[in-house]
Amino acid sequence: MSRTSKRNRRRSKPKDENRKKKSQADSVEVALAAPEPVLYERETPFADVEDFDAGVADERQVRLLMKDWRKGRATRTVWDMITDGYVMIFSLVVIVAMIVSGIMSVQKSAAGCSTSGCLTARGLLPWLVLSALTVAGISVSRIFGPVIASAAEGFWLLDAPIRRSRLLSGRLWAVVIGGVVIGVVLGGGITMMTGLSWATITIWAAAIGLAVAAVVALAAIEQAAERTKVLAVVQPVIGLVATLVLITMVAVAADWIELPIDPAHTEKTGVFILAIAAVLAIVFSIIARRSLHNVRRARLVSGGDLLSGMQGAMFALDFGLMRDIVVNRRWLTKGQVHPVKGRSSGRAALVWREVERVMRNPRGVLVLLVSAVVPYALLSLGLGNLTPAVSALVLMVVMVPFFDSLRVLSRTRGLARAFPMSTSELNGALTTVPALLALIWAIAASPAFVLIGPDPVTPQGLFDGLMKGFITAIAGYIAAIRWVSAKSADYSSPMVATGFGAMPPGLMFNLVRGFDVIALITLPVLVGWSPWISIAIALVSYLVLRAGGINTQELMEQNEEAQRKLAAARDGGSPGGPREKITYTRGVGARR
Amino acid sequence: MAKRETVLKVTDLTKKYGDHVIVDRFNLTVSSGEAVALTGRNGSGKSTVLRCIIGADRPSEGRVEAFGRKVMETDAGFRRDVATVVDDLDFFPDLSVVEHLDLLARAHGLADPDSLVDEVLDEVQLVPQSAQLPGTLSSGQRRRLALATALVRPRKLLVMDEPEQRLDVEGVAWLGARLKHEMNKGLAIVMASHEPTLVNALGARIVRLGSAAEVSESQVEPEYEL
Repeated sequence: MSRTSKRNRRRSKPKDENRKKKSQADSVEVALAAPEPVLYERETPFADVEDFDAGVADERQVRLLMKDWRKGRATRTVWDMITDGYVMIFSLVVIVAMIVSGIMSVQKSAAGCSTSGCLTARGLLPWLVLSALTVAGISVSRIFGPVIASAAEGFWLLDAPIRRSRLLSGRLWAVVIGGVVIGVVLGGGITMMTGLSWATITIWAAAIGLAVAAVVALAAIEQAAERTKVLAVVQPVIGLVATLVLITMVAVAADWIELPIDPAHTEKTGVFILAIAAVLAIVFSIIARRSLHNVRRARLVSGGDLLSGMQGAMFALDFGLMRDIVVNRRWLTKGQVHPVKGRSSGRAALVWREVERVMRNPRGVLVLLVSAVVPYALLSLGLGNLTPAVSALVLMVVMVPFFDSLRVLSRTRGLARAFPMSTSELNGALTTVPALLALIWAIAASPAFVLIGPDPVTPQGLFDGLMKGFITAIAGYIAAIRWVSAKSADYSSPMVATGFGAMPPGLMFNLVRGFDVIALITLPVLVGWSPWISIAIALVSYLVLRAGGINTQELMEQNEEAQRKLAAARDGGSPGGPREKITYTRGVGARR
Repeated sequence: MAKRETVLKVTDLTKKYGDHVIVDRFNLTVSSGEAVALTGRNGSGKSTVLRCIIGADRPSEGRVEAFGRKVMETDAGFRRDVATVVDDLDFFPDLSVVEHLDLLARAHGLADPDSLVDEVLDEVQLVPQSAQLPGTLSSGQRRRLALATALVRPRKLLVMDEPEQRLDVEGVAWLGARLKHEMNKGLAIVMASHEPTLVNALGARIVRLGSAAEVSESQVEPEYEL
């Protein structure tokens, strides 16, 4: 029945269209004459869905069918892509080799540490990495889902009478295994810097990977249950553990407390953590797999929408846009706030509003204060000269949320135009509160450079240490401004020919924005030059960024306008409006 | 009647994208208390002219002066005197509707921002949404918030791109009456519009932009007809 009716439908299509056209023409005439109902006639019977066998859909077959279609539409093979992107692959290999080489050299130098403070810091670092990465894993999982589906899949597949859990199981395993891989790579990479034995590093890397996988699976259980209660408790608890570990590292490094940790003990605890993490990862994954059928379509698709938006930003290497998407999503979920009346007027009103925003989202201040411990931790690990650059990098990351207003005014100019002040004044007002926060950070972090150093502390050592702390804070602060206010790649300009193919100007700079400022400002400290050179570089960088960057076109126009006014004044006329009579008082030279 | 001063002067404005000429030698002079409506088909260059007037786009050739000074979007004086309602308006994701308006009114140094903000919120019918964040507003509500941002601040020149967009019939009538009231006090208005009701309510001078965008003030039509 089904085959016959399909053929009939195909054959009858043109006839139907002709008849439809005819009937439309008739209906116009009829409408003009008299409104009579037009009966629809059909040679073949309508197709009834009941006539078709409604069997049970096999989810595996559906997945394979989709895979087959996608493969069939691919125009390039993997080998084609590798051949085309050989320059990129070569560059990536070089970069990875540089990172590994850097880690190895740090590991070598760390392996030489023999003081009790240094050894304790080495023993505590894996704990810090473990807790920090699991907190990050929970955050990312909560933002995306962690199990996601695209809008198309949500419409075409998830509405069908199929077992959702079987369709989505691949996604769950992908995110769980992804969690393991990311945890192992990052955890292993950072733990390698401690100079511990390879066996200990391997054990801790595996433990961290499995711990991340466990929290991702836990987030999937929560996603299916439409709740966040468990994660809302687990996340701050692990965050607190991370903070306590960090503070302990500092206390030991500053000789406030003694906590001898035997390297053998670190290996044993690693095995213990590995076992617990493995059990949790397996148990949570099984529960998550079983509860997949209950995940609502909206919860799956919203994560997919977010990811597709971020993928678009990722292809443009626009990390600022990626963050914008996440921030907008967070506030959209919140929906409304308790409005707070502003204070003062002019630029001060903007500053006050920034204070209100900080109070509205105080978690950022807490993170900033905790991050002040980073220089202590790095110095206690014996990272020495690298401490200002790495600490500034951490500060940049934690300071970015305080520049959300600057980000909005930088990305589109519409709102900036509504404020009665120049770009420089506007940016100055919006960067005031973060500057105060950076100052607080500097006050909290600077003693690290004095306390954890050569004994006894000389006046010159005190001055150098404090300067290093302030330069670090300034570098992080200015790098954050640079990161949020950098322009996106300009796709309207002509493309630039590169080894990677045609690229819009500025695309590659997106990768290094923020980092470039940190490198510039901390380089003199690294090579032992006067700290005043760093201060001078920071001042110039800040002034340029405050003015909204260097706009050569605008500068040229301003110059032309000034030249025009000057020429007009020389000719005795004013550039706009009626001629102004200028009289000079003899001997005084004042203009009236 | 007070002497009308020239607020905006556009001289031989040309805008090209590559070889494609969007606007060709466009001239316009607007005085205080006057409204000018740019009309024309889609793609005739109305929005491009407006973007050049507010400094969002740079003219390929020609000159745009506001209050006797060359238009510079980043200039504090220009920002103080010129209010804009065009499509590039963005909002702070974490500030509510009323907080946006409060911030703008205070930034402009208004003496009693609270009562003005309340009044404008009521006018644009956003009182129930005053605590909402911009991301949660509908497109029509966002449009009304954009109009409100131009109303809670002092301005001498108001530039709008199709302000009637997403407003219902009553909304268009309100906007016409509101702007007419401000014109009587000296506000100059330049807008692109497809809405005859609004254009006629303001008694706006109509400048029709052709497909080739060759326009001058001589092409002004006495009355806007559909």
